Amino acid sequence: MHREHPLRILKYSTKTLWLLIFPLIRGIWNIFKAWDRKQIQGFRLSPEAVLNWVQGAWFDLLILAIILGYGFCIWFFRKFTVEDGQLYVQDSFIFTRKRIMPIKNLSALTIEHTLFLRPFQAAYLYADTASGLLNSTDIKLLIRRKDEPMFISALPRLRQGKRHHYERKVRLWKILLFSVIFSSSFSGALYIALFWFQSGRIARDLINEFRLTEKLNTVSQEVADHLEGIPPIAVTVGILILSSWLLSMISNLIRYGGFYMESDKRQLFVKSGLMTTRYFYLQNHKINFLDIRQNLLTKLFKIYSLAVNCPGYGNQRGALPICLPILTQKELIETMPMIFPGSRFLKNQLSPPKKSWWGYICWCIIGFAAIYPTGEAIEHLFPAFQEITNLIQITIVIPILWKLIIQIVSLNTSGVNISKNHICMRYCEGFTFHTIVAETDSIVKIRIHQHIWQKLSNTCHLTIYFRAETPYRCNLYCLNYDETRELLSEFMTNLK
Amino acid sequence: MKEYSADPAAMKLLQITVCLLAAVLIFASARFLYRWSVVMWILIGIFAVTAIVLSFFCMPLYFSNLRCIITANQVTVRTGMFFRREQSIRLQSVQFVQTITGPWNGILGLNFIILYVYGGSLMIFFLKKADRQELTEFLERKGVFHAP
Repeated sequence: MHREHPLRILKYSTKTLWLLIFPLIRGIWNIFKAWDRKQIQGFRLSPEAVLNWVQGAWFDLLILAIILGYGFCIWFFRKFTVEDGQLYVQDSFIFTRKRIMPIKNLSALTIEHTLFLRPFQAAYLYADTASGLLNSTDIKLLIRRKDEPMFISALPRLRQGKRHHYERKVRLWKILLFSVIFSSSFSGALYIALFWFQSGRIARDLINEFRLTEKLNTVSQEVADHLEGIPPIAVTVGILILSSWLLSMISNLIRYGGFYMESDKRQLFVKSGLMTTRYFYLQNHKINFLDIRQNLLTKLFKIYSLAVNCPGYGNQRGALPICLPILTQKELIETMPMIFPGSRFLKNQLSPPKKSWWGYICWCIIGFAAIYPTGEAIEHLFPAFQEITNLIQITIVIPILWKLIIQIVSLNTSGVNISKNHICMRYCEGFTFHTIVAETDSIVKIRIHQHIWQKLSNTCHLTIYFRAETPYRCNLYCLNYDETRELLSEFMTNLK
Repeated sequence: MKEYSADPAAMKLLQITVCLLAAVLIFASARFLYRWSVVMWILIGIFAVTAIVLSFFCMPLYFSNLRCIITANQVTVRTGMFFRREQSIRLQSVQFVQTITGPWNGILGLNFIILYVYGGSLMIFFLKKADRQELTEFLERKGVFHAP
């Protein structure tokens, strides 16, 4: 049996940090006692009260020892091993807890070499099965690096040879392209918010120290002076959006840099990360479905990004479960059956009729039409905000137009095919086009939705739910009702 | 098919714990809130009634309804006081197993087995020590796991 890395003691000790409340109570008690004896005048502590505090330091040290001792005990009594094809973790401090996970049931095993743990020769290990809810990790351990081979050797070895083996190292320029395509200002803003809330005062001190607010104002003013007619506030907003996008891009680049993938049709190995290196070992038969993602530009240039939905993979905040970041159409058709035997790229059997175009673009048109009168109304009510209102109007018009184009493309490309126990579904969500490729066994629920006015046109919306740790659903809009029922007759009861 | 019921020792332990906790809270209320006698008596009343209802009404009812039924390929747990709840899982869908044993090798009835399946988990509560051993042996025989 092996123990976790001793650094884990600190983490376990944090569970008993609440014990620090006792030294605090003692301190307050001493102050009140001193107050009663009139030793405190005008909130100034007397030397005697301070002496009392120092004399009682043994109590604080005792509490500290209890906190660290508890952490040590948890660490000391937590042991793990891999034996007989099972991962076995035992905690035996007061209560004995044994977790036994057969390796054959593992869906993903992740080993993470974080930058700050490297000097200590420690690594995080995450073991996940398809059980549980909401992407929770089943077993998480902080292991010594020397214990890593024990886990890796328990997994089936990747078969070599041209027939089975497939490997690919993704070049840096492709990762850069991928980072550019799949970065968003929103996720960048999330990183900033996370940094702001988690680092708290440090973040505020840094901003004050480097006078970032003043510098931002100066740069905005200078740029606004060059670009006549654009208000400085617009430039500031632009700089903030661009910076958060840049941050998202850099974080993607760091996360997926050095991407390497290896597969033998049964198992998938992925290595990625420039600063924190992550090693993923995925079992192919545990993969719920393949998700081929594109945005408008990559669709235009026929570039694809291949992701997989596998419990335990891509669970981290901001991570995408990427299998191959950038592929051309030819590469995709060639590599997909090599990695996932039996997976098929099928032509749409059922797609929305062209006459249902209004259902696809109506919200964009309504949004677009509402911008001008809304802006006018706001300007009329608050004339002081005229410049900002104009700016917001322009800012909103661009994504709406972009979405309108996406919806038109989606009308022409969306659809579904179900044949020979396989499903291939093309749909669009937000600004991303998805192609889901899966076995029909992965379908867990089907919902056909028909508005009262859709009865007249004999159309419906279709939602297909796929098996996944977090419920995953795909929507197709404005399909012919009879054709939909006919295609899905295998999965649905024929109600009259 | 075999039926397992909850260990009465676990119920007694919980009853004693609840009563002790209530006694401590009542004592603390009497010691620190004697200046506000109305608040003190209200709190003492709440603690006492809660302890009595929990220990002598809810717990016996809950423990008497607690059942675990094992068949060749299925585990069912029945719980509930006023509303019955039955959860069943197939043994072949179990992905991994967790066993929790209380102090002194679970002699006080604090033995739990958690079976993790697709989309959730099933917990078997307050088993007797002998029942826990029998159940783990059964799960091992069924190939759900085998203890190293």
